[in-house]
Amino acid sequence: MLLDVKELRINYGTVYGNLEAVRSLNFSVEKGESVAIVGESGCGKSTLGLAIVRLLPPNATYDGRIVLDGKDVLSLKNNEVRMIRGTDVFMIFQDPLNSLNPVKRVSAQLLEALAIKQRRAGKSFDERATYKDMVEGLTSVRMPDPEVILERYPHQLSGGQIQRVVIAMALLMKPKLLIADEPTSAVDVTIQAQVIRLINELKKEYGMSVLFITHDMAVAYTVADRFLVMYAGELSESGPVNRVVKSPLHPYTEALISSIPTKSRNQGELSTIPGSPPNMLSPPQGCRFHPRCPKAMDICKTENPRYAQRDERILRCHLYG
Amino acid sequence: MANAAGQAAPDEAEVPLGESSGFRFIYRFVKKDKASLVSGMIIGAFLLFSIVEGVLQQVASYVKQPSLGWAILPTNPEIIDFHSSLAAPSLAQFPAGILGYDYNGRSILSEILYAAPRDAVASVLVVLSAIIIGMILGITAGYFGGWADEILMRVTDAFLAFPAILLAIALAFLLGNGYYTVLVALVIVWWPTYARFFRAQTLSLRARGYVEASKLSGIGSARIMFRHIFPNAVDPIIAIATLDFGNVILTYSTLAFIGIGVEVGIPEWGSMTSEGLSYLPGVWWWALYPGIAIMMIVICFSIIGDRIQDLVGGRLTY
Repeated sequence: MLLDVKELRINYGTVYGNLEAVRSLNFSVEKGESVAIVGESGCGKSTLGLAIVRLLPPNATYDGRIVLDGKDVLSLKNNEVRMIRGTDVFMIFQDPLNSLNPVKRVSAQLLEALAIKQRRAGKSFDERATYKDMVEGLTSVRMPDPEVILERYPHQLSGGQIQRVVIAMALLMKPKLLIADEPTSAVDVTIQAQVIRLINELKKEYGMSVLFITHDMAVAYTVADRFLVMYAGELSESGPVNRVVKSPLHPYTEALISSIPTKSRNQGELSTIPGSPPNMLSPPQGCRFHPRCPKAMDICKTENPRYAQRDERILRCHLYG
Repeated sequence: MANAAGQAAPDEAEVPLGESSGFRFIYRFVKKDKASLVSGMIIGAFLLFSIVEGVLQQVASYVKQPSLGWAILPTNPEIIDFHSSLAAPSLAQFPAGILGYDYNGRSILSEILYAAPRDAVASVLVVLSAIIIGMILGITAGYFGGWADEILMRVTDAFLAFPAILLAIALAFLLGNGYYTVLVALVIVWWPTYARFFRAQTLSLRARGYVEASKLSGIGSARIMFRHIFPNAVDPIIAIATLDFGNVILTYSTLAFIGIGVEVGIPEWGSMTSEGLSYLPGVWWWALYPGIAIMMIVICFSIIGDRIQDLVGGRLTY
């Protein structure tokens, strides 16, 4: 088991009060496995990603455990956290266009990260060999003229190019766990497909584990081995992709999956989930999904559902005990 | 890079990559804006002359040949010659006499030129030291926040409260009245502003994606602060610094005017103005011309600083 999250709780202190972004979350990621975290905007997906790399904003408080490759991330000292970033865990941020320093050439930024990786591996830094690696890395993300791109500044690149530079960086760092926070939201569909293919190849080639954060069910379906559906900071359902997509058990998963536009359903209206996610400053009592749930019962309004196991998955719903 | 230009997208072909675009940009800008052209030339001439004259003065004192110090000036600025005492400006005595003579019979022009390097050195040295001190303290405070920020900023506030002139007078008593005492006093009152600028810049930069991304690659704090944040923070501060070159000269001259940092017998723009004051209005040239020199340099610096501020976009607040 590479990543094990236990009873994770993350709160943001805001001027309007306490915001519980993630509540009693349990899940794990095996070596070489890719897990897609899906859910609507504001359900705590990105917060979870940031917690794993310990880059939460200063107003966040947390408890619970995140064990990454045997190390308890949340209790590490600051300089120890620095040692796991980059080599143990790397994250592609939601907005890749901001991930490159505007005043430095692409090559300088890649070189800087790679130098750290090599020093940690106990090797001496060989600039020429590293340069060759960088060219190879950019080539493998289908970047034309990698030598030219390396000498450019970020503002001279297009969004898709920056996206690919960031992915190439993740590829060159070869982390044990790659967290990809909506890596395809800033690029068009053709590049989206390339990015997904790349991440899949990486996974196969290096046995890298991937935590894929997305709100796009179709994308999640193509990359993930396992789904983790989150609603309002809580886990709703998690299980193997095929099982979850073919026979969703949780009403929320069911609603999410029926809202995927497909070719066969191109007639008639797109199905949506009525209402909108709750205000996280005052989430509903009981099951947080009950105001929007078509199958809500009386117990849903008062009691928070417990974790239950059924049909290869973990569920939190009163329908399943 | 020839390869790069050849394959650039059509809209990128307009702006060539590399340094040439920078120089070409300045050329085009200056062609349109005559004020910045003229001030740029005056400042350029002032700095260039100051370097030559300053080096000559240093060499002169080193080899103990004082005459070398005024080798490129019309006359000896330290001579006493009562034949030309208080002689009015006249073009007949070109070049020494065109700005007139003071009570001791020294050419005003020679004195102004002789004093130029001291003002140039003061402005450059004070502003650069202030930037370096302010950068280290400001970026550290802004990046780490918390108690580090609290302590550093309260210290900065304390220094910000010092009035320049009173501090210089106090230091002149402590360290002895001299040129370097004034420089120390100016640095002490100048750095806190920069510390605040750098802190403000850092606060807005530290939350940027690329700073988070550098952290994510395992890059250390010091490297993030000075290799990633500093280059991004420095743009608007260059504009402020250019304005400040003029402000330092102004403050330095003000101190010289009231006699702080003036060494006997060595001409100084501020002290010339104050000496000439008692001969006004009859001998107007003694006080007026050094005053014009100060004003011209300060105005030129502020025009350039103002243009740079427009170019880098956005005004700084702290």
